Amino acid sequence: MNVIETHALSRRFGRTEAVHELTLEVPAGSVTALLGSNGAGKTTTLKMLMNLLRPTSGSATVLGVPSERLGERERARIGYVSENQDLPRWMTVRQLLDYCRPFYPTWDRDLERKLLAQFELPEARKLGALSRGMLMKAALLSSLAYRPQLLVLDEPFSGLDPLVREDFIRGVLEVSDAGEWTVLVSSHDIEEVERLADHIALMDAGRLELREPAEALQGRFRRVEVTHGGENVGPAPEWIGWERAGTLTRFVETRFAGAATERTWQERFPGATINAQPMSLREIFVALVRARRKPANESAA
Amino acid sequence: MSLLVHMIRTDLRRLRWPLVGWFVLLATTPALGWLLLGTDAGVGRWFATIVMWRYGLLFVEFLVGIMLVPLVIHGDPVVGDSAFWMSRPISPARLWWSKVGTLAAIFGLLPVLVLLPWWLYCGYGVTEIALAIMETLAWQAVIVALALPVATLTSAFMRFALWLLVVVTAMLASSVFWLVTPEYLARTAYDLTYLWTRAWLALGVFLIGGVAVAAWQYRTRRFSHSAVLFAFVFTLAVATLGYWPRRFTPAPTPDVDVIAGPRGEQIRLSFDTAQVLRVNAQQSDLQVSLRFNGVPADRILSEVWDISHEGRMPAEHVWTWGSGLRLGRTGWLSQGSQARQAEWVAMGLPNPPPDPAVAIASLNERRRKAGLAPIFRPTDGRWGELRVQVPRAFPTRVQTEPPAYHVRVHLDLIRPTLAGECPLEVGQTLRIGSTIARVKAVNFDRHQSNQMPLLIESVPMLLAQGGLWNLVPMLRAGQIRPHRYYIVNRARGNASDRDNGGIGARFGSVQISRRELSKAAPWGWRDGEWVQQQDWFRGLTLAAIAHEREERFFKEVSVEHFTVVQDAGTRGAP
Repeated sequence: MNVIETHALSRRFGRTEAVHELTLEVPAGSVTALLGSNGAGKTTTLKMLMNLLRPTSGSATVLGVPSERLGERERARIGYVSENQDLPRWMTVRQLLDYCRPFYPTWDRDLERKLLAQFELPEARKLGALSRGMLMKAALLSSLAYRPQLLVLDEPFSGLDPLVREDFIRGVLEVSDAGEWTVLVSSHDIEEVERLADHIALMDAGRLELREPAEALQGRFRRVEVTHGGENVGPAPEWIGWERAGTLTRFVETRFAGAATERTWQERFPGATINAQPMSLREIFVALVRARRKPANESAA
Repeated sequence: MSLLVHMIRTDLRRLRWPLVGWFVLLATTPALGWLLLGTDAGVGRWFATIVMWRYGLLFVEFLVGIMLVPLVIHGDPVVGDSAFWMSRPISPARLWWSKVGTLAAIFGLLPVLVLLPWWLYCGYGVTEIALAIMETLAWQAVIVALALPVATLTSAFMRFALWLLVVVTAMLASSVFWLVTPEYLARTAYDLTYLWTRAWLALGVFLIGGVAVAAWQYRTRRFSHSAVLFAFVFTLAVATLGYWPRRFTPAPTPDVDVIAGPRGEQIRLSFDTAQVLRVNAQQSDLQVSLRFNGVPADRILSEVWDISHEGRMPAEHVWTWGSGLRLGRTGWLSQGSQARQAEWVAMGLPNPPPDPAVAIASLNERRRKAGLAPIFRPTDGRWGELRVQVPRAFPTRVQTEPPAYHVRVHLDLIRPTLAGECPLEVGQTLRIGSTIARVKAVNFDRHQSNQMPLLIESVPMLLAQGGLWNLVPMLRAGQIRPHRYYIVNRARGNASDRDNGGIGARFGSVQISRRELSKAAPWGWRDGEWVQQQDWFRGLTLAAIAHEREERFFKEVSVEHFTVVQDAGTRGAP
């Protein structure tokens, strides 16, 4: 069962198409990372899912309800933390929690106290006087204390120092351990997301480039270095980031399937020394984005 | 419901410091009023100063109120996509009602709670308090409704201020545009009913439409749609101001000859003019003397002051020459001596009527001795004078080529009654319903010119004629004018000149006026002469006369020929 489903979801701002026919599913119980560079359309997508923005076309359902009809009942099951969100800065941390609590029937006072201590938030201090990291932790606390079924995080790590990031991730994992829930997190801080996500969706220029389980994704990508005798071998369609310098050829294999793929390499580069290394999520992201943009740059040139 | 209360309380806590300022501002009004009623501040020159402060305070109250609205709304803005509430289980409808609740608390509950002790102090009963609450809420609602749509369509105070300035400027510009358009003037000349009706209606359209736009924005959060809707409301209000074809106010009773009095009597009226133009050479103002026949001694014929009610000016004069030349002017009817005579009847005072011809002759003899030109008065029947400004060349032209003359006079038939009487002593109060007149000073010393018998009067605002709405005469057909006050000497059976109204201001639905009574001894008609009674200042009482309207109508009078009399323009009648 999918907690989020979109079908050909698009959003235009004047002549700019921020999101183009996005079709995406987020399975229940997954932690899905929506990755993409700046301007890829991640935040716009999340805002449409949260009904903060109306789609130009297409549709989306969240928790089984069309996103444009998200009501109080559904929102009481959703947590949303965004770097762009305007928090009531006149309130103290305590007042924020006191304000939010009555809206959520599932609010857990014990979890509130636990997270408050874990995040080391000063209860009596106004939100307007908090650092950015503290502010994000306060926002996360107010979104975790009711154990939402769906947690949507929009660039939560942006501008946070490593300690705060650690606190933040521990907070998310804290609730995650307590029951089945779904997390959709958008970020370009891939290393942090890598620790959380079990599904990856990659967006670039408003389009969804791929979506699959993180393990499968990392399993099928390899960075390959081939040292050979200088034969003129061209790239296969599944190879990206093709580079050649003398007898050294580098590329990224996008369909690695173990021994079968290694046999294919040996057939293409007979007698060559082949070194294949697993790739981090960050390396995969960079390789994919560059590969996508290279043909566009070449055609533009 | 509990969530609504929770949200309203949160809003009020957020705005606690601005609300303290708002409370102080609201409380200043009754404090100033108390200075006038409860202390001697109103005796000296402070009265006018405090009245000026009150007018300034009214403006400040309006501005602060306008600024408070965006503070309420922008706490949870409904434009943009980053407001905190949007990602929380708060529906737009719930947010709307919470904001309505917060605004009701700030602009409804708080002012009423602040003013309630003041109203009780002023002697208001249940009816007066209900009316005062209604007026207070209406005034505050205008403030809120004016600011609400602009506040709803913006998310920052400076942006709100800028757009409000644009809207107000556009509103004023369009109003001026309609008022100065020749077509508009030609269509509605002298007919203020349309102007008044359209102004009220346009304001109503703008305010109600503005609230509807705000509600729509809360419901849909579609800024572009709401902005277009607001522009439509604005255009509709402007179009109403320019083109609304009907008037709310009823047409006055047409020209009647017989009026059925409230006690079954038939009052037969007929008018004609003395056919005299009295021309003041210095001011070029012209007086047409008008005789009223059939007006009972205890009634007053008075022009309609309340132009917003009947829509027309009290009197409209038209002169038409054979060549087709036409001159139209608006003038006012003075009541002559008839009002005082009827009020004396109401007080049960003997009023030996002098022979008009002898009285006028006596008066003119005194004027001649004083070096003044004689005055003209009709010597039979009751009369009034229609005063109107005319071009300087007008009298000459009238003499060389007499025009036809037509006048339409809007009149009230008034019955004065004695509403109350008390000894004229400092500290005495005269209570007439919830109207209270307090005697603040009594001094008949001719050499102290700045002190004289002085009243401070508090009147329920909505009952006072010419109040905020001018709708009161429509709602209440009974008493339409403020009380008149006389200094009465029952032993001698006469009274001083009545007061000529006073200055005042509104203090939280209480009209406080300062009335200075004449300290001159009254003139009396004795042995064929007007004489002043020097031993008059003992055992005096203060009497209040109420005016009750019995009928409102207009009369049309046409005159073929005038006699022109030059007049120096000075007044001398006792």
